Amino acid sequence: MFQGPGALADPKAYRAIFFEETQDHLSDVEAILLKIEPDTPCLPELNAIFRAIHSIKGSASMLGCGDIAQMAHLQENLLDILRKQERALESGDVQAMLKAGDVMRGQAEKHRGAIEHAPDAVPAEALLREQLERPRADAKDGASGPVRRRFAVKLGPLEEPIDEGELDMMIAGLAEMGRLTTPAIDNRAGGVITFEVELEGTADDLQSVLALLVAPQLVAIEKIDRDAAPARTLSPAPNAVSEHDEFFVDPDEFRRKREAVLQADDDDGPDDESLVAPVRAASAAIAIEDDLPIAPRETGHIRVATEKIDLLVNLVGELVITEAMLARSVTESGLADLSRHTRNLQEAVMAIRMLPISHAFSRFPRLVHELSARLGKDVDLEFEGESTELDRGLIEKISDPLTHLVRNAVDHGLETPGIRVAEGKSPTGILRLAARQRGGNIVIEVSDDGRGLDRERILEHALLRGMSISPDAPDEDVWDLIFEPGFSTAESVTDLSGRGVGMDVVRRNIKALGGTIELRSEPGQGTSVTVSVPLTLAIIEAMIVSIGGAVYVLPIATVVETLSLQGGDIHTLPDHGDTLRVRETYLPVIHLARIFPPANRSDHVGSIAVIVEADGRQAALVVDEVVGQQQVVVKSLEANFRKVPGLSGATVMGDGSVALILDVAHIVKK
Amino acid sequence: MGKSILVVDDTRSMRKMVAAVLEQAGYEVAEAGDGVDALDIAKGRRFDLVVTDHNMPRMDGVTLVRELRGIPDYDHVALIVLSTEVDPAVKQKGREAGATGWMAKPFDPQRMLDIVAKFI
Amino acid sequence: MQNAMQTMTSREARQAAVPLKEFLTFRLGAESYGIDILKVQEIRGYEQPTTIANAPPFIKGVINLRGVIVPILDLRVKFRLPETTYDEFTVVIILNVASRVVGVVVDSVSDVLSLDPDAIRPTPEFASNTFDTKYITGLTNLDESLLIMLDIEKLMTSADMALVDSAMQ
Repeated sequence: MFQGPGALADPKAYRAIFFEETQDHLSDVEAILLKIEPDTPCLPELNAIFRAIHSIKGSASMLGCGDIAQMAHLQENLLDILRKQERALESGDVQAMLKAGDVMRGQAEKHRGAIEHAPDAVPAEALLREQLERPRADAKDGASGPVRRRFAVKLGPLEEPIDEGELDMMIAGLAEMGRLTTPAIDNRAGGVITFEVELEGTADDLQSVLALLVAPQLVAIEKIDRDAAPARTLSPAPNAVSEHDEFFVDPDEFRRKREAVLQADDDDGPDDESLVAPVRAASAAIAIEDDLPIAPRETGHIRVATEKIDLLVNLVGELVITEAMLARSVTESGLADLSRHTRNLQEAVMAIRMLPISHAFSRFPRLVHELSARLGKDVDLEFEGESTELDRGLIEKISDPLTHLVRNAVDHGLETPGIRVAEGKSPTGILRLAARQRGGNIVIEVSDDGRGLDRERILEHALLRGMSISPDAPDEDVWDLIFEPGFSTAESVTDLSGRGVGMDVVRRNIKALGGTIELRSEPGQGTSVTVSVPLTLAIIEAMIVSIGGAVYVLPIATVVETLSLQGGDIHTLPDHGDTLRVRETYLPVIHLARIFPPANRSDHVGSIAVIVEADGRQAALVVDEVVGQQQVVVKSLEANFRKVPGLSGATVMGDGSVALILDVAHIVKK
Repeated sequence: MGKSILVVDDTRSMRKMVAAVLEQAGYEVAEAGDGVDALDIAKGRRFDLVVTDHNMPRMDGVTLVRELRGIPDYDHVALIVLSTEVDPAVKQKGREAGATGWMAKPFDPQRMLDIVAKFI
Repeated sequence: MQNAMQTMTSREARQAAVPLKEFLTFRLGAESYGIDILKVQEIRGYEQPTTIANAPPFIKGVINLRGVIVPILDLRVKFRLPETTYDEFTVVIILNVASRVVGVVVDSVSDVLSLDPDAIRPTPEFASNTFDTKYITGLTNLDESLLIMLDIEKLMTSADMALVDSAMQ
């Protein structure tokens, strides 16, 4: 049954599509598996899983991925048992299929060349086989609970055609009540309609429903025994197909008939008596089985290679620059239109790059499922604001830090059900991921209702490691210690969190995105971590300044105000360096010309102070001039060069020259 | 004279493979990812042969065959189902719906070409 | 000093059916150098880059290359050659090495040569006062003068080129 690849000219192109499709199918299947519950009806979901696995099997065997086809085949067998309801769904089934999905994913990655060795299929196969052996229910009539019975129905021979609309409605109605299979519909005078249906109820119930359509004497209903021989079809079955995989009409006859018809010039050819019996069908597609429509990937969405989107973003960036260029030399009202169009185009393009954060959250149900099983905890994972959108580049970068926070919450934050009950809490712990937009940022909160941070232990640990902190320090300062490198108060270094990836890395990653992270906690009540990152990284509103003849860029988001400096405004204090009085406060002064020495010292005038704020700190940056304000496209310095302290990137100005973007947070810290 | 074939399958990789095999043999190939779309396309122009999967959402292959047989243009066009389905009852329905043939997946490209040549 | 080897013309090479590599040759100071042409993305005239304060002196700054920020290095400074003025003949070779795009300023660019790479042998005895010989893959003759074959990727990715954040290495 599983043949090797046929004589396809270039399987490589199909393999790429196959790998993409397979990963999609496997993700869909996993999502469904995590949703369904044993002992609750879920036939549409099982059918959806079946279809996905079936697709994978077909393509896999074509492309020489026999191992994947084999795993899929076993799953199909299990699914068949469950779909035919020969046995109720058990958690063992879900586990076995989850494991099988993991193995198939790994096998696909190996075929793709992304990893060297596929995961061992034997344990997963063993699980599946085990589930295949599970005793099946032998439900007889009169068993406890509602009983489903199977009937073969024949309507006809009809005296006249049934109204199509009514027929559709009845079929749809029956399909909803139960399972309707193998319909054959010849809705003409003298025609016959047959199908099988499985539902709760008696033959009499069914008879009365069908009698609404046709005269009762034309209704024939037969009960089918579930385990008996395959259902008898009541319609005459010439040339019945049995075990063989394939059938074909006789090609010579077929051609002969066709020639005959094509040569005849009449529009109405003689009634066709060929082996192929044309049958008029019901106009609407009949629901043959309960179907869970997995959102068809083709409608309303297209796949676009990310390189194309990146190119678009670059082009829009160039447009922004060109517009700025024009604005310098031409002052016309026509520019207002150009501005508007550019802005709209830019928003539209940035929107293409935006994805709902549910993409970042998608791995968590499975992760929490496994972690809680492994750690003996009971966790309810809640999401809020999953439709909040953010740039896709950001989604990738934020996944790892969030994963670490989720692991921490399940591992350290939430207690086992026993302890929780002892504390008067419900045995199920709540882990909540909430996302919302605020200003130009997306704010993500990971919170749990667990034991909270242990202030005493953190202080102890800190003092042990020689960190200086007062025992009376406010909570925020104590929580901040957790972000220090190497800080981990885990008693047992479980393989989950004790991997050397600490909160310091999480904070560093968030900062690299231009974001912030904050901890809040109440002992015994829970912990909440709030991460805030800017929504889009690529285009920012900027203030252009000059320092010693060179042009630099400041993100407007960091600018509070600008002041002109006069002679004695800046005071030099003995231990604190230069300060500037702004209304009621004294701010530290930073002479940018000292950090970024210009080629010609004499060009430095230092007549403007730009008041900036970052990380809750304010400072006055001294520059020569404020050249203007415009949107700039942020370009990476690190792609070809490296990270330069004090700079967060570069941009291209209207004249094509490069201007460097200041890392205000870093500068203000110094 | 160039012959045209409509290939229907909701699995993109499979559809592309079948299309490629047929195109390389010199047939003009159109594709549809869905029985409903296939019906639309088929109504718009007459193909010389149709190859369709069976297990598809919205409209399965057997229903598609039945629908096509209802269109006068497709009375004598070969409609071949290409499927992994093994249930004899389903194949019987296929026969009764008017399928010219039922081929098993995975398919051997050369054999498919032989069969197509016989019926197109 | 020389470890002379054959320089075949393209035609001879084709007749000999030896797979040849092509090299871009350029002048810097008194010497001529050759680098693998596959590492060369393009050749541009010199334009004033934007300086990055506190960068090493051989990094002249960054330029905008069709929307991408590219650092420009001056090999003269790196090779400790006397400074020179950049004029209209000054050339910048844009390289694509180790997934980075980097520009190097040279005096001028000459021909593209086809050479049999097997014929290039390292020369341990050759002492250079310009840079570490580990970046030299060999020597050859070019019209009576010496052509120094450079492993430009190795040179550009070495630590002292300061192109890679040392923390990440």
